[in-house]
Amino acid sequence: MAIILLVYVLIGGLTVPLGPGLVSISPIAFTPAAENNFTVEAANTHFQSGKNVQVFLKSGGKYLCVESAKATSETSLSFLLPVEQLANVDKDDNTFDVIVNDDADGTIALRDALVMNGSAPDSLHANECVVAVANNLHTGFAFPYREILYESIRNTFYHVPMWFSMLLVLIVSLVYSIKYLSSNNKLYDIIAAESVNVSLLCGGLGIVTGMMWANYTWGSPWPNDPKLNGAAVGILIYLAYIILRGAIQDEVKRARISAVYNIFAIVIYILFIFIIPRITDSLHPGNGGNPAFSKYDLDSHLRLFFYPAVIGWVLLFMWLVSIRVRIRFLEEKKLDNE
Amino acid sequence: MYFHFLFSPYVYITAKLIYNVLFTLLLSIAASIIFIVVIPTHIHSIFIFTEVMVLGSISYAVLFTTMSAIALKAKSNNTLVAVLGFPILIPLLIFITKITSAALGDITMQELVTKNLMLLIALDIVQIILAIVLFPYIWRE
Repeated sequence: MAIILLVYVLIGGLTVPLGPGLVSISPIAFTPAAENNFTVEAANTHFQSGKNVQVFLKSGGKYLCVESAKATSETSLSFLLPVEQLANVDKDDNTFDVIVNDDADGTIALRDALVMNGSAPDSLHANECVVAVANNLHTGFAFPYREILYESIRNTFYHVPMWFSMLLVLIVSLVYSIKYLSSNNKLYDIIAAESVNVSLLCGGLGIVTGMMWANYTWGSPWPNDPKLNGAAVGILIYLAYIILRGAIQDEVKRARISAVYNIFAIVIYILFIFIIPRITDSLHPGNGGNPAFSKYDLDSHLRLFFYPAVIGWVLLFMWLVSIRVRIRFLEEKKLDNE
Repeated sequence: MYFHFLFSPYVYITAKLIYNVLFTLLLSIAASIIFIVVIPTHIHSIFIFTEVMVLGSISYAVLFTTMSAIALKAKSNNTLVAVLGFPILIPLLIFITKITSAALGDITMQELVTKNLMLLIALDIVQIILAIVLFPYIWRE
């Protein structure tokens, strides 16, 4: 079951194309002259095959119409900004969003793309720019296009479920530690210990995928982010758990003491992963004032793969735990028989 | 092991905790007096400073009491205390340094003080409860 889900996620995650978006505009700064000429570069768009290509500038809630918008290829177009249009915006606004609309790609925008140096001449008159198109959405099946994320948005299917499954496996471990303390059943101790081992695997993979992602989006594999450091220390806590288990010879005592330590550890781990990043600034979504990503980053196409990915990875790691527990249990049984 | 016959483990751990907390508190008071005398420091808010000193001492002492109980039962040398205690200590250190720098007049930290203090109190309570509830399992031979 887990394998089927993961194969589906892998194929879907790699083959579904990225949605359209604007990449850059040049020049990015201009001084008000009679006519300013711009070219826009975009990705995954269909300017030539799509019909009705329209370009607008937006500043402070007001629109500016441009002239002679022309597609030079599928992914680039050029337009002219007549200086009279600058009368439509307030004097203090000098940054502009670029909005492109066509039938194939829907409405796509680049925020704060243009900067105006100096102010527009006073005696300008222009007709109000009326924007006739509604915000139509992209209709093809694709993942959302996000600035700075680009194609790496596919990592959502691997990095995020790793940490979900790590937390779940650790909760399993906590439950069985408590059960061990109240019943002294050896099987519960094995389950708790093997859960911690598997959770370290999830954590390691989560950190590796996270580092690859951070390298492309935040610029370095290890930016000094409280959540990253918290995750690293959280893994240290559980490495200490393994050291503790290795240090005690007597089996019953080892089981009991490591269960006690495990209960301490999960409290600190949750503190690290969830509470400290939320009260300090963090680059992660959902922390330090950043919006949680389910609000707008996950659209329905992404969800179609994200939820199966989470379920698939969690099932896979739970399966790993159960296999390791069975192996350990059989080993112990064999030792007892000899 | 003689104590096993005399007290219940709850009495024993509570007494240990109280002793260690008082001892740590004494040490930190002495340390801060020496610091204030030797390095001229202006304490912005004496109330927050005392508060964080008391709370910090409590959680520091509780944490290390439990960890050394674990390490003692592991019959290992003292390095195990450091290995076990260090990662668990870090969130505590983060809270304490933040509140202390606010108490010494760091403006950027002022708004975070109540949040951090609440977390520190919560951490203290959780640690004390865990220590008292779980100690009998460590102690029993």
